[in-house]
Amino acid sequence: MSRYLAHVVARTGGAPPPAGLRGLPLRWLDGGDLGIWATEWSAEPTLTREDAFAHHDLVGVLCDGAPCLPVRFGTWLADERAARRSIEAAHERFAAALDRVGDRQEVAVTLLWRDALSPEGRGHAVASSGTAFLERRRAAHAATDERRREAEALAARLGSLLAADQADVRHETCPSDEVALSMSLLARRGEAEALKARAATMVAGLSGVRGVVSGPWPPYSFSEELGATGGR
Amino acid sequence: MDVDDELAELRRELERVRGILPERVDVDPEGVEQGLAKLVLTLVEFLRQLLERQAIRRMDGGTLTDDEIERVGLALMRLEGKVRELAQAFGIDPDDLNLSLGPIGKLL
Repeated sequence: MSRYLAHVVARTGGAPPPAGLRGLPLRWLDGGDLGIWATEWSAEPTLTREDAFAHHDLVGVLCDGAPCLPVRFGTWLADERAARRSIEAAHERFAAALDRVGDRQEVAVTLLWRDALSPEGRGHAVASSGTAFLERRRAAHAATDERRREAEALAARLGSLLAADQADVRHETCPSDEVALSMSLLARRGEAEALKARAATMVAGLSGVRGVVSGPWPPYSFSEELGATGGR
Repeated sequence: MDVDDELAELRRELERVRGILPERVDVDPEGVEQGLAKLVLTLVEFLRQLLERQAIRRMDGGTLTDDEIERVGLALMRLEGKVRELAQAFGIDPDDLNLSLGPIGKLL
Protein backbone atom coordinates (compact mmCIF):
# COMPACT_ATOMS: atom_id res chain seq x y z
CA MET A 1 0.00 0.00 0.00
CA SER A 2 1.40 3.39 -1.01
CA ARG A 3 2.41 6.12 1.41
CA TYR A 4 3.09 9.72 0.44
CA LEU A 5 5.81 12.03 1.74
CA ALA A 6 4.55 15.59 1.25
CA HIS A 7 6.79 18.32 -0.20
CA VAL A 8 4.69 21.39 -1.01
CA VAL A 9 1.13 22.68 -1.15
CA ALA A 10 0.40 24.43 -4.46
CA ARG A 11 -2.38 25.52 -6.73
CA THR A 12 -3.66 23.14 -9.37
CA GLY A 13 -2.07 23.54 -12.80
CA GLY A 14 1.65 23.82 -12.00
CA ALA A 15 4.46 22.78 -14.32
CA PRO A 16 5.25 19.05 -14.73
CA PRO A 17 7.66 18.15 -11.91
CA PRO A 18 10.86 16.12 -11.83
CA ALA A 19 11.05 12.77 -9.98
CA GLY A 20 10.54 12.56 -6.23
CA LEU A 21 12.99 11.52 -3.51
CA ARG A 22 15.34 8.59 -4.30
CA GLY A 23 14.06 8.69 -7.90
CA LEU A 24 10.59 7.54 -6.83
CA PRO A 25 7.44 8.86 -8.55
CA LEU A 26 6.32 12.35 -7.61
CA ARG A 27 2.52 12.50 -7.39
CA TRP A 28 0.01 15.34 -7.44
CA LEU A 29 -2.48 14.69 -4.63
CA ASP A 30 -5.51 16.63 -5.74
CA GLY A 31 -7.51 18.60 -3.20
CA GLY A 32 -9.67 20.77 -5.46
CA ASP A 33 -8.10 24.09 -6.43
CA LEU A 34 -5.13 23.25 -4.20
CA GLY A 35 -3.06 20.08 -4.00
CA ILE A 36 0.10 18.53 -2.62
CA TRP A 37 3.20 17.35 -4.45
CA ALA A 38 4.40 14.20 -2.69
CA THR A 39 6.77 11.29 -3.26
CA GLU A 40 5.02 7.93 -3.47
CA TRP A 41 6.61 5.06 -1.50
CA SER A 42 5.55 1.45 -1.37
CA ALA A 43 6.23 1.42 2.40
CA GLU A 44 7.15 4.07 4.98
CA PRO A 45 10.97 3.96 5.20
CA THR A 46 13.34 5.39 7.78
CA LEU A 47 14.23 8.79 6.41
CA THR A 48 17.86 9.86 6.38
CA ARG A 49 19.81 13.10 6.52
CA GLU A 50 20.31 12.78 2.75
CA ASP A 51 16.53 12.55 2.31
CA ALA A 52 16.16 15.81 4.25
CA PHE A 53 18.59 17.57 1.92
CA ALA A 54 16.88 16.01 -1.12
CA HIS A 55 13.49 17.22 0.18
CA HIS A 56 14.92 20.74 0.59
CA ASP A 57 16.32 20.67 -2.98
CA LEU A 58 13.04 19.35 -4.39
CA VAL A 59 11.01 21.99 -2.55
CA GLY A 60 13.33 24.61 -4.05
CA VAL A 61 12.76 23.27 -7.58
CA LEU A 62 8.98 23.13 -7.10
CA CYS A 63 8.88 26.67 -5.67
CA ASP A 64 10.95 27.93 -8.61
CA GLY A 65 8.27 26.59 -10.94
CA ALA A 66 5.15 27.99 -9.26
CA PRO A 67 4.02 29.62 -5.99
CA CYS A 68 4.25 26.95 -3.26
CA LEU A 69 4.07 26.47 0.47
CA PRO A 70 6.86 24.19 1.67
CA VAL A 71 5.77 21.32 3.89
CA ARG A 72 7.82 20.31 6.93
CA PHE A 73 10.13 17.38 6.12
CA GLY A 74 8.79 14.06 7.37
CA THR A 75 5.07 14.80 6.88
CA TRP A 76 3.44 11.57 5.69
CA LEU A 77 0.01 11.18 4.13
CA ALA A 78 -1.74 7.81 4.14
CA ASP A 79 -3.49 8.28 0.79
CA GLU A 80 -5.16 10.82 -1.49
CA ARG A 81 -8.16 11.08 0.79
CA ALA A 82 -5.89 12.08 3.68
CA ALA A 83 -4.34 14.76 1.47
CA ARG A 84 -7.78 16.05 0.54
CA ARG A 85 -8.86 16.11 4.20
CA SER A 86 -5.70 18.04 5.17
CA ILE A 87 -6.33 20.65 2.52
CA GLU A 88 -10.04 20.96 3.24
CA ALA A 89 -9.37 21.39 6.96
CA ALA A 90 -7.21 24.47 6.35
CA HIS A 91 -8.15 25.57 2.87
CA GLU A 92 -8.59 29.25 3.69
CA ARG A 93 -5.30 29.43 5.60
CA PHE A 94 -3.41 27.69 2.79
CA ALA A 95 -4.96 29.89 0.11
CA ALA A 96 -4.19 33.05 2.05
CA ALA A 97 -0.63 31.90 2.79
CA LEU A 98 -0.08 31.04 -0.88
CA ASP A 99 -1.22 34.52 -1.86
CA ARG A 100 1.03 36.16 0.71
CA VAL A 101 4.24 34.10 0.67
CA GLY A 102 3.90 31.61 -2.20
CA ASP A 103 6.12 33.57 -4.56
CA ARG A 104 8.52 34.86 -1.94
CA GLN A 105 11.79 33.61 -0.51
CA GLU A 106 13.24 33.56 2.96
CA VAL A 107 16.60 34.85 4.17
CA ALA A 108 17.83 33.63 7.57
CA VAL A 109 20.02 35.59 9.97
CA THR A 110 21.65 33.83 12.90
CA LEU A 111 23.63 35.75 15.50
CA LEU A 112 26.03 33.79 17.71
CA TRP A 113 27.41 35.18 20.95
CA ARG A 114 31.15 35.73 20.75
CA ASP A 115 31.36 34.75 24.44
CA ALA A 116 28.68 32.11 25.06
CA LEU A 117 27.92 31.47 28.74
CA SER A 118 29.76 28.45 30.11
CA PRO A 119 27.87 25.75 32.06
CA GLU A 120 29.28 27.37 35.21
CA GLY A 121 28.02 30.74 34.03
CA ARG A 122 24.58 29.17 33.66
CA GLY A 123 24.85 27.95 37.24
CA HIS A 124 25.16 24.24 36.45
CA ALA A 125 28.24 23.51 38.56
CA VAL A 126 27.74 21.76 41.92
CA ALA A 127 27.79 24.28 44.77
CA SER A 128 29.26 23.87 48.24
CA SER A 129 25.93 24.61 49.97
CA GLY A 130 22.27 25.24 49.27
CA THR A 131 22.73 28.96 49.81
CA ALA A 132 25.71 29.08 47.44
CA PHE A 133 23.64 27.17 44.86
CA LEU A 134 20.79 29.70 44.99
CA GLU A 135 23.20 32.65 44.88
CA ARG A 136 24.92 31.16 41.87
CA ARG A 137 21.58 30.59 40.15
CA ARG A 138 20.52 34.15 40.92
CA ALA A 139 23.66 35.43 39.16
CA ALA A 140 23.04 33.02 36.25
CA HIS A 141 19.41 34.17 35.87
CA ALA A 142 20.54 37.80 35.89
CA ALA A 143 23.12 37.02 33.18
CA THR A 144 20.64 35.16 30.95
CA ASP A 145 17.96 37.84 31.46
CA GLU A 146 20.47 40.46 30.38
CA ARG A 147 21.41 38.35 27.36
CA ARG A 148 17.76 38.07 26.40
CA ARG A 149 17.31 41.86 26.63
CA GLU A 150 20.38 42.36 24.42
CA ALA A 151 19.07 39.82 21.92
CA GLU A 152 15.63 41.46 21.82
CA ALA A 153 17.27 44.83 21.18
CA LEU A 154 19.29 43.29 18.33
CA ALA A 155 16.13 41.73 16.89
CA ALA A 156 14.24 45.02 17.00
CA ARG A 157 17.13 46.87 15.37
CA LEU A 158 17.67 44.34 12.58
CA GLY A 159 13.95 43.87 11.96
CA SER A 160 13.31 47.59 11.59
CA LEU A 161 16.32 48.13 9.32
CA LEU A 162 15.86 45.08 7.07
CA ALA A 163 12.09 44.75 6.69
CA ALA A 164 9.57 47.36 5.63
CA ASP A 165 6.72 45.25 6.99
CA GLN A 166 7.15 43.59 10.41
CA ALA A 167 4.81 40.80 9.24
CA ASP A 168 7.73 39.77 7.03
CA VAL A 169 9.94 39.07 10.05
CA ARG A 170 9.94 36.08 12.42
CA HIS A 171 12.50 35.74 15.17
CA GLU A 172 13.44 33.78 18.24
CA THR A 173 15.84 35.17 20.82
CA CYS A 174 18.32 32.96 22.69
CA PRO A 175 17.09 29.61 21.30
CA SER A 176 20.26 28.08 22.76
CA ASP A 177 23.18 29.20 24.90
CA GLU A 178 25.34 29.89 21.85
CA VAL A 179 22.73 31.59 19.69
CA ALA A 180 21.55 35.14 20.41
CA LEU A 181 19.04 35.43 17.60
CA SER A 182 17.49 33.33 14.90
CA MET A 183 15.62 35.55 12.44
CA SER A 184 13.80 34.86 9.18
CA LEU A 185 13.00 37.60 6.68
CA LEU A 186 10.70 37.43 3.68
CA ALA A 187 11.68 38.95 0.35
CA ARG A 188 10.16 39.04 -3.09
CA ARG A 189 11.78 36.75 -5.62
CA GLY A 190 14.53 38.74 -7.28
CA GLU A 191 15.05 40.90 -4.19
CA ALA A 192 16.19 38.15 -1.84
CA GLU A 193 19.87 38.23 -2.81
CA ALA A 194 19.97 42.00 -2.28
CA LEU A 195 18.33 41.56 1.14
CA LYS A 196 20.89 38.89 1.99
CA ALA A 197 23.74 41.23 1.05
CA ARG A 198 22.26 44.06 3.14
CA ALA A 199 21.80 41.71 6.11
CA ALA A 200 25.39 40.46 5.81
CA THR A 201 26.73 44.02 5.83
CA MET A 202 24.57 44.91 8.79
CA VAL A 203 25.46 41.95 11.00
CA ALA A 204 29.17 42.41 10.26
CA GLY A 205 28.97 45.73 12.10
CA LEU A 206 27.42 44.34 15.28
CA SER A 207 29.58 43.96 18.36
CA GLY A 208 29.46 41.03 20.74
CA VAL A 209 27.98 38.66 18.17
CA ARG A 210 29.04 36.87 15.00
CA GLY A 211 26.48 36.85 12.20
CA VAL A 212 25.65 34.09 9.72
CA VAL A 213 23.30 34.97 6.85
CA SER A 214 21.80 32.05 4.90
CA GLY A 215 19.37 31.46 2.04
CA PRO A 216 17.49 32.49 0.11
CA TRP A 217 15.27 29.43 0.24
CA PRO A 218 11.53 28.68 0.19
CA PRO A 219 9.55 30.44 2.94
CA TYR A 220 9.57 27.59 5.47
CA SER A 221 9.19 29.84 8.51
CA PHE A 222 6.14 31.60 7.07
CA SER A 223 4.21 28.62 5.70
CA GLU A 224 1.09 27.15 7.21
CA GLU A 225 1.64 23.63 8.49
CA LEU A 226 -0.16 20.75 6.83
CA GLY A 227 -3.08 19.91 9.13
CA ALA A 228 -3.10 17.05 11.62
CA THR A 229 -5.97 15.31 9.90
CA GLY A 230 -3.87 13.49 7.34
CA GLY A 231 -0.23 14.30 8.00
CA ARG A 232 1.69 13.39 11.09
CA MET B 1 3.09 35.40 49.21
CA ASP B 2 1.66 32.50 51.27
CA VAL B 3 1.51 28.82 50.33
CA ASP B 4 -2.01 29.11 48.85
CA ASP B 5 -0.92 31.95 46.58
CA GLU B 6 2.10 29.96 45.46
CA LEU B 7 -0.04 26.91 44.72
CA ALA B 8 -2.49 29.06 42.78
CA GLU B 9 0.36 30.52 40.75
CA LEU B 10 1.73 27.05 40.07
CA ARG B 11 -1.73 25.83 39.04
CA ARG B 12 -2.14 28.74 36.62
CA GLU B 13 1.26 27.98 35.14
CA LEU B 14 0.36 24.30 34.69
CA GLU B 15 -2.93 25.24 33.01
CA ARG B 16 -1.03 27.49 30.64
CA VAL B 17 1.49 24.76 29.82
CA ARG B 18 -1.22 22.13 29.34
CA GLY B 19 -2.79 24.34 26.72
CA ILE B 20 0.37 24.69 24.69
CA LEU B 21 2.03 21.27 24.90
CA PRO B 22 2.18 19.35 21.61
CA GLU B 23 -0.96 17.31 20.96
CA ARG B 24 0.88 14.55 19.17
CA VAL B 25 3.61 12.35 20.64
CA ASP B 26 5.96 10.22 18.55
CA VAL B 27 4.97 6.63 19.33
CA ASP B 28 7.80 4.96 17.42
CA PRO B 29 8.27 1.74 19.49
CA GLU B 30 12.07 2.14 19.41
CA GLY B 31 12.00 5.61 20.88
CA VAL B 32 8.87 5.69 23.01
CA GLU B 33 10.64 5.02 26.32
CA GLN B 34 13.23 7.72 25.72
CA GLY B 35 10.60 10.10 24.35
CA LEU B 36 8.39 9.65 27.39
CA ALA B 37 11.35 10.04 29.76
CA LYS B 38 12.32 13.24 28.00
CA LEU B 39 8.79 14.63 28.26
CA VAL B 40 8.47 13.79 31.97
CA LEU B 41 11.96 15.04 32.87
CA THR B 42 11.37 18.25 30.93
CA LEU B 43 8.21 18.93 32.91
CA VAL B 44 9.97 18.12 36.20
CA GLU B 45 12.82 20.46 35.25
CA PHE B 46 10.31 23.14 34.26
CA LEU B 47 8.65 22.92 37.68
CA ARG B 48 12.04 22.86 39.39
CA GLN B 49 13.06 26.05 37.61
CA LEU B 50 9.76 27.65 38.51
CA LEU B 51 10.32 26.85 42.18
CA GLU B 52 13.91 28.05 41.92
CA ARG B 53 12.80 31.44 40.54
CA GLN B 54 10.24 31.70 43.33
CA ALA B 55 12.83 30.79 45.97
CA ILE B 56 15.21 33.45 44.63
CA ARG B 57 12.41 36.04 44.65
CA ARG B 58 11.65 35.18 48.26
CA MET B 59 15.34 35.20 49.16
CA ASP B 60 15.65 38.70 47.65
CA GLY B 61 12.44 39.78 49.36
CA GLY B 62 13.77 38.72 52.75
CA THR B 63 10.89 36.35 53.50
CA LEU B 64 13.11 33.29 54.03
CA THR B 65 15.42 32.69 56.99
CA ASP B 66 19.03 31.68 56.37
CA ASP B 67 18.16 28.13 57.39
CA GLU B 68 15.21 28.02 54.97
CA ILE B 69 17.38 29.37 52.13
CA GLU B 70 19.94 26.67 52.81
CA ARG B 71 17.33 23.88 52.88
CA VAL B 72 15.46 25.07 49.77
CA GLY B 73 18.73 25.58 47.90
CA LEU B 74 19.96 22.12 48.85
CA ALA B 75 16.68 20.50 47.76
CA LEU B 76 16.70 22.30 44.40
CA MET B 77 20.37 21.47 43.83
CA ARG B 78 19.80 17.78 44.56
CA LEU B 79 16.69 17.71 42.38
CA GLU B 80 18.64 19.27 39.51
CA GLY B 81 21.39 16.68 39.96
CA LYS B 82 18.84 13.85 39.97
CA VAL B 83 17.12 15.15 36.80
CA ARG B 84 20.48 15.31 35.00
CA GLU B 85 21.43 11.85 36.27
CA LEU B 86 18.13 10.32 35.09
CA ALA B 87 18.42 12.07 31.71
CA GLN B 88 21.84 10.55 31.18
CA ALA B 89 20.54 7.12 32.23
CA PHE B 90 17.98 7.38 29.38
CA GLY B 91 20.64 8.51 26.92
CA ILE B 92 19.36 12.10 26.88
CA ASP B 93 21.67 15.10 26.95
CA PRO B 94 20.38 17.12 29.95
CA ASP B 95 20.76 20.29 27.88
CA ASP B 96 18.21 18.85 25.43
CA LEU B 97 15.45 18.79 28.07
CA ASN B 98 13.08 21.21 26.41
CA LEU B 99 9.90 21.40 24.36
CA SER B 100 9.28 23.48 21.29
CA LEU B 101 6.08 25.46 21.69
CA GLY B 102 5.94 26.57 18.07
CA PRO B 103 5.74 30.28 17.40
CA ILE B 104 5.97 31.24 21.07
CA GLY B 105 9.37 29.61 21.49
CA LYS B 106 10.58 26.93 23.89
CA LEU B 107 9.34 25.85 27.29
CA LEU B 108 12.69 26.30 29.08
